[in-house]
Amino acid sequence: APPPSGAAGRGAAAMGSLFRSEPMCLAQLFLQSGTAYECLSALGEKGLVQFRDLNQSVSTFQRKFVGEVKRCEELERILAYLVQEIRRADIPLPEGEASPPAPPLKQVLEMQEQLQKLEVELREVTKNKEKLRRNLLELIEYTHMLRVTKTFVRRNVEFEPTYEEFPPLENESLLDYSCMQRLGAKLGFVSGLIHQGKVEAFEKMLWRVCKGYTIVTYAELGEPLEDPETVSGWPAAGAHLQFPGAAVAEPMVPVSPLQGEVTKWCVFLVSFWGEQIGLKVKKICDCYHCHVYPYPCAAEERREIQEGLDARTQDLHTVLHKTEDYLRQVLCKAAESVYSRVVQVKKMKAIYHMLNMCSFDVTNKCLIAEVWCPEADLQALRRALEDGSVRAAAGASRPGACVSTLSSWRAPSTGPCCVQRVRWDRGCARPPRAAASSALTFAGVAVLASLQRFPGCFPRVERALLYGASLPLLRWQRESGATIPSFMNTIPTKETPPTLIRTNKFTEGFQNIVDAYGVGSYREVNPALFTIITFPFLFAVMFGDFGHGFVMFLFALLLVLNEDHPRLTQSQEIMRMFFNGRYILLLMGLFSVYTGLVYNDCFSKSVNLFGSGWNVSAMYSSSHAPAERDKMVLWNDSVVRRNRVLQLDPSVPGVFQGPYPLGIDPIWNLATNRLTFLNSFKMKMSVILGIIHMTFGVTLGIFNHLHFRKRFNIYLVSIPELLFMLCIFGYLIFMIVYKWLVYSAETSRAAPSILIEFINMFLFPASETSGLYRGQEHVQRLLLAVTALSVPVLFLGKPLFLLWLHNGRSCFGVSRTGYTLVRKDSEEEVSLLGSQDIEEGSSQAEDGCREVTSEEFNFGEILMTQVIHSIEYCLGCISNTASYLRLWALSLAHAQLSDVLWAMLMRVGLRVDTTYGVLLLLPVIALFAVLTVSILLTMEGLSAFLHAIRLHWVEFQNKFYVGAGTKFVPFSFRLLSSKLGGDDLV
Amino acid sequence: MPGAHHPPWTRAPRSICYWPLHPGLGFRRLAMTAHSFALPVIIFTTFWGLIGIAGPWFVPKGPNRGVIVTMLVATAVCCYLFWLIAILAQLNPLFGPQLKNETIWYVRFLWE
Repeated sequence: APPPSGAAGRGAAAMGSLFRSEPMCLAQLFLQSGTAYECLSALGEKGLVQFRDLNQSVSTFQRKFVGEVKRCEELERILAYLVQEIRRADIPLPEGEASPPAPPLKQVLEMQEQLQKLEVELREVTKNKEKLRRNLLELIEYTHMLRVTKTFVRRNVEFEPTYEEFPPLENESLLDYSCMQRLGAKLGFVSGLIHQGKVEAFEKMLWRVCKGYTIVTYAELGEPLEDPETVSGWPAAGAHLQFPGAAVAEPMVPVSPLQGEVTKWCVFLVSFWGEQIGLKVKKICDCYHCHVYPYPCAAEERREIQEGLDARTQDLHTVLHKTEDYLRQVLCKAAESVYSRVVQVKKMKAIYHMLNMCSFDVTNKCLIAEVWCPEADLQALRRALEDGSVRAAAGASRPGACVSTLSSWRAPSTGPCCVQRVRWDRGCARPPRAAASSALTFAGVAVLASLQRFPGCFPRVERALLYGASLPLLRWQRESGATIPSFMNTIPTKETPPTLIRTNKFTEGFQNIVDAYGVGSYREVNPALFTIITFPFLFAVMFGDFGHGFVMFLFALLLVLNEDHPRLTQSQEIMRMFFNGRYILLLMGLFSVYTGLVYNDCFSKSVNLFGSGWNVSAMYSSSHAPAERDKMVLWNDSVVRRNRVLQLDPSVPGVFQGPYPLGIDPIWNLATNRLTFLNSFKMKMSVILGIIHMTFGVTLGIFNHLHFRKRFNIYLVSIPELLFMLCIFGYLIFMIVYKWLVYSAETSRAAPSILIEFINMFLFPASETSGLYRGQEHVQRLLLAVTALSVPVLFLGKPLFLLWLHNGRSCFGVSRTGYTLVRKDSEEEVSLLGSQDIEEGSSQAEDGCREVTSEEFNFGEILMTQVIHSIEYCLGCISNTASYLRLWALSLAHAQLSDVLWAMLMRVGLRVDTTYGVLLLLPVIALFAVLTVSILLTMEGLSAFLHAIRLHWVEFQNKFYVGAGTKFVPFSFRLLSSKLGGDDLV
Repeated sequence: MPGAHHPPWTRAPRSICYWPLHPGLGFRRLAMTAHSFALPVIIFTTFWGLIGIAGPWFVPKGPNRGVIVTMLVATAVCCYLFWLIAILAQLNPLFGPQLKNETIWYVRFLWE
């Protein structure tokens, strides 16, 4: 992935890229209202600057470009509708790789018109199609009804007993319907379809209301039919208007296009007497949402209707097909350009959002934007503005108009600036007079602009003055009507700029770990640089296992090698989490392999690479000279046979032959007192690593004080802190190492416990114990004295110094709080000298002086802050050192867990004899692999990961990192989601 | 006891003192199991020293040079420290491993 902003190769001192955030400056952009749009488009493509909202008091609806934003939203709505229709028609949506630039203003109207026309057409066609389809369904229903009811009449006649209660006239004529008509004019029929579920209720209701004067016959329709009433072109019509994104993102239409609900139907026939009852029956039919169709009375009529229906159905089918074809054609054509249109509209909307943040100057001719820009990108920013102006001018070029670019400026020292290059439009061979005069205007404008651009000429240029200075310029512009390019100014500020740390795909993950705690303050030392190594290392100390580390490494390697695979980059949730942290995983795996080698653990088993340093045979009496045998407790075969457990004695010559060269001796893995040894080793290791880690953190604090020119902080805070840490815990390390080096098996009985010694250091016990070395108590008293002295310095030093500085006149060792650098140098100088020199420029001392005095001095507050900080630090040293013991605890837990897994699974599998062994071993190995991955790798890995994060956030970053910054979020089109139907930017 | 011990690095490796007692096995045993302290220290110090001190000089120039150099140095420091702690902790064992008698048989006949 490219760095989040700007081109890769630009600026930024090599080390500075991750060690500190980049120097920023506040710049004012003067955007001519005609070219503002193009300029912002150019800026958005490059993603160089972060805009500040200058209209914070103005509500969203009262801003300048609300209309334009509305228009963009309207376009978005249309596009969302298009995308929805295209998706529904199953037409593939091509997603272009290249993102088209924001549309030029001239094209916008054209585009809007085009899109609106398309939408109207689409809606029309869809509506027609829907109507046709509904018609068709009704016809089909009618046909079915006719078919079914044909059988009713005959059945009625044959089986319905109620008919026989009627005055029997001519039995044979009952078959004929005309006969029925003759029987009484009042006899009527209502027929139609009803939902299957409603039939019973319907029948009961008819019975009750009509008091039995009706006869209901019904039959189930064999096949389910679509309900024409539920056919609709846009089922989510209300929803997608308001949330175009949501409606498109999730296919809300479960059924295929233009399909109604498919339900089971019943065909019914109600026969009744009398008009009154007929009305009632019709009403009831309405209530039950029956689809009522006219009932043909005569047989010929029925046949006629049937024929008519067939013909109409056929016609409708052809028309429907034609319509669908046409719709598809329209959608196909729309699908070609819809992606680029979506991107374009998104960009346009983003531009107007940014323009809404700008303030208008008095003349309304010019937009003024304030932006944060990395100093390294100023040149690129200027170029982008020129590009935008040129493009706008080219877009609006009239014959004879001239386009000029102010390409370069002389340095202020050479006096007034002049336009070096004026480029005439190629359209006119000789510049007409008007154009020439506008060029003169240019010169004047250029001088004015240059005066603004080099505030160094005026010692105290304030922002108000800058606004004032821009006025004549704008007047010039208005009077001459010339198109002048937009330009920029850097302006001094006391506000804290946002933090920009350029990362690449490798460092991004580590930076995210740090940012999750807090985005670094401006120009503060960034712990992410060191986290890259210390984080995987501390993780690996807790996860030390060669095999597990190697599996993790392989997994991460797979992810890294396939990082361009589209399925990985678009994966979801958990997989995405792993994918984003692939480089962290890779390093974690590598370091786990190393720590696993040192722990000599591979799936809880040890590897004997170099041969153990312990020699068992030397414990046997047979391998010693008879003279020596008496002095030592030695073994022989019978002793070994009788005792279940025997301990090797390193003081017996030949038993211990020197330490294992790489890590822990493999014999410890076989020993029953393995944990006694490992605990002692790992505990001491955790304390040593922890204290070194924390001391490193305090040392990094010194770099912060140096950078922010608070030298007094080094003497009054950092050094006392270091002394406090080293005199107590540094001495602890010394004792640990001293004991390792000096005491051996022969003197093991005299070896004092380090814990007791450490406690005695503070208690001054009355009884003299045998110490580690001669003169120990003197050294310890000295160290304690230094500690005791450093505490009051830590508590009171800084507040008292600041008080003294506040009261006294002298102000050496000037203080700076955060970003106070006042920019007086021109940008040219910036680019010439580089950031480092500027920070150490000459103007610092007096600035610093001013600031110290100008800041409101509150002694009580400073004292309280410092006291709280000191208490936290002193207590923290103790609790944090203890906190590093989690390194021991977790590595112990990991080793034990993998040991248990081996003992309970693999050992069982391996013990079975050879005939069945192979059969059993396969499932055992499979289960072992599954449990290893799920429990040891995933769960244990997660817990070690969390603990490593904690050690970094709390124990390490506590010592120097403030993390109170805000992230630099550039206005960049790259941050717009390129997916169709994704969420908006703003 | 203070002062009674020589620092370990001045001592000769123990195995060399004792193996002449078993001329038959001694030669092999020296090659197999006798570890001097100085040799691994020299090897590992050189190895991590090369990575941590010499390595940074060979990092190509570029925007990420600072990051790579820091990584190399930090890796060397962390890994060397970790290894050093492990070998120092075993340099002078105060007690020996406690083994089951089956393990003793096994170790005696397979490792030695």
